[in-house]
Amino acid sequence: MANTHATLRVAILEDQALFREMLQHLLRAFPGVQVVSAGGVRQALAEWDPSQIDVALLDFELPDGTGVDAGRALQAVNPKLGVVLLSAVDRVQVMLELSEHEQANWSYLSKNSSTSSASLIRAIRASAEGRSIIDSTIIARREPRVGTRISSLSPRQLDVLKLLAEGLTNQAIAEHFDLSINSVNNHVNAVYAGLGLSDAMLNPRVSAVRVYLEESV
Amino acid sequence: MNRLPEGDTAANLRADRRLFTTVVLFVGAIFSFGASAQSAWVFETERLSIAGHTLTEFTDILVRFSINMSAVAILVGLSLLWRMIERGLASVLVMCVAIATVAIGARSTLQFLAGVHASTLPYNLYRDAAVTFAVSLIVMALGLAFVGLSQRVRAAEREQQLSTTRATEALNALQQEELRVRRDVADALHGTMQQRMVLVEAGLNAVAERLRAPLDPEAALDLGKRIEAIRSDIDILRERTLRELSAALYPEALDRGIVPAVRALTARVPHSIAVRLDADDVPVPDSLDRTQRLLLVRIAEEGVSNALRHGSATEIELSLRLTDDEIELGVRNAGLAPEHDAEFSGLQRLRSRIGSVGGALELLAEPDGALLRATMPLAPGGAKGGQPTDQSRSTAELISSLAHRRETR
Repeated sequence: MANTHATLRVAILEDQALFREMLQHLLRAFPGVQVVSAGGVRQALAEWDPSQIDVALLDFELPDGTGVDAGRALQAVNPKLGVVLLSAVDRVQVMLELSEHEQANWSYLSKNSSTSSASLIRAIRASAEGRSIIDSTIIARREPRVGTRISSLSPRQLDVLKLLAEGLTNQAIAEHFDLSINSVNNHVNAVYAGLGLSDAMLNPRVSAVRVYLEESV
Repeated sequence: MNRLPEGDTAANLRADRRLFTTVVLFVGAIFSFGASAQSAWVFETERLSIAGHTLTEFTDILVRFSINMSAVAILVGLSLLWRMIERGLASVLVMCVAIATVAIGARSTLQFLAGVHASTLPYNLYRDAAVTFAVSLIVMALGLAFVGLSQRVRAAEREQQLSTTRATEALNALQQEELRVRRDVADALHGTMQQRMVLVEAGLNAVAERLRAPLDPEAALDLGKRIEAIRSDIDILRERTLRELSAALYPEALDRGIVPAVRALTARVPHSIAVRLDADDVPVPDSLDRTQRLLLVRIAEEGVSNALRHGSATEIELSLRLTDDEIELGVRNAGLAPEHDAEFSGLQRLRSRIGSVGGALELLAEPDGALLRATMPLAPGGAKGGQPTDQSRSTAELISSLAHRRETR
């Protein structure tokens, strides 16, 4: 587990040199962050030691593969390794190709957002802690498809679901809406019920986000 | 149109008859001469005599040979008369026995008239008949064997020609498609892209112009809004226009599997249409090659855009089913049923493409909408052959990936 005081070891996989250097530059500005980088999937898998990495920051489309392939290969060696996918266009539905178990510590960030150091470090820290964050600018763009489960949620429930997808904890959601934690808990449970998920499931939060990605465009 | 000379069965039949006749006459002649010569020279049978005159050696052999050849002529004549080479095995066997029997009868009669067996023991007469019977069967069997061989050679040639034709047709279709898609993409680049770029450029020019003079706070606010509008234009260009063009050239997620590729396709359908994808039993990645995935994605695309364009669909359900040897794609839409015999040019094109790999595509009317169903064998080409070559396959992949009509402008 990494926190703000301990070292955070980040590996960057990005084929465009300029963008790679910018990411390195942004991350090195944070105290305790150590960075390694590679320009291709093969190079990354050859040079990196996954057990020495907390979070991998992976470009989605690379000349010799995808960030998804690379992330899976790294996690096969170090299951605790967090993954942040970066993509120039919205391909967030790729998260549905992950298993629920894998998805738990994968985040998805648009390249636009990654140029803001605040959202970049937030996604990296979340994945390092085993949480999943989806870029809020991508969530903002999406609309529920008619005739789906999420289209029958109340507006407040849908807002809560979107914040769950953005990786907010119930406490953070309560602060966001200026509500009590109890009423947020009730909303979250109502969302689970509306999507046909049970609180007793292994990870209803991840399941709810998957339903959201599947049923919105 | 390009179907093969399979149709010219009359000519083939004539050729088969000629072949049969030639073989039976030739082999029959060899046996006939052999038997005649054997009687005269090896067994030194007593020479025949006509009207008390003993024949010369040459004439003796000639008479015996003629009698034998008349039996051969009966073999050929009856075979042709009864159309033996066109019949099934059972009829052929019965006919052979009957024809051989007739031939023996005719030969024996002629021999009796010519006095061939005047001094032969009855026991040897039977032996002679049995040998004649066997030789007749052998001669006819040889004739039939040659005909069978020639038919097999013809069938193989026909199959070869058929698969060449099929491959040529597929390649032609792809080349047509390449032209069409290249034109579409070029149109989109010149049209939509150019226009938007011009607008962005003009907007930036205006901003630059304003910035030449000092700004009051209100003007600065206004400029901020303009820059925001330009940013959002660029965002649309990048996320929508460029993305659609890119998908027209090569569908998104095609390399990862048919399910991600179809899912990426459904993500382009507006959220006001209820779209469902049912593909739980298809793994990611799957065993399909990219050409197969590409064709299925194109069909799904055609199904979805037809449903939206012609069927005023409010609900679209896509399904993928995988069995041991084939994959089935369904695009079902609630809305208007297709008009009777409604066929869209895109569908016909796709039907001929999937047909060339042994699959099928059909558009069916449903009680409250339509169903477009495609089936494709997993082994490309199926049992029918006609697979594209490696070269045409990679061309196919490139070309047919272009085959997407822009629908939203």
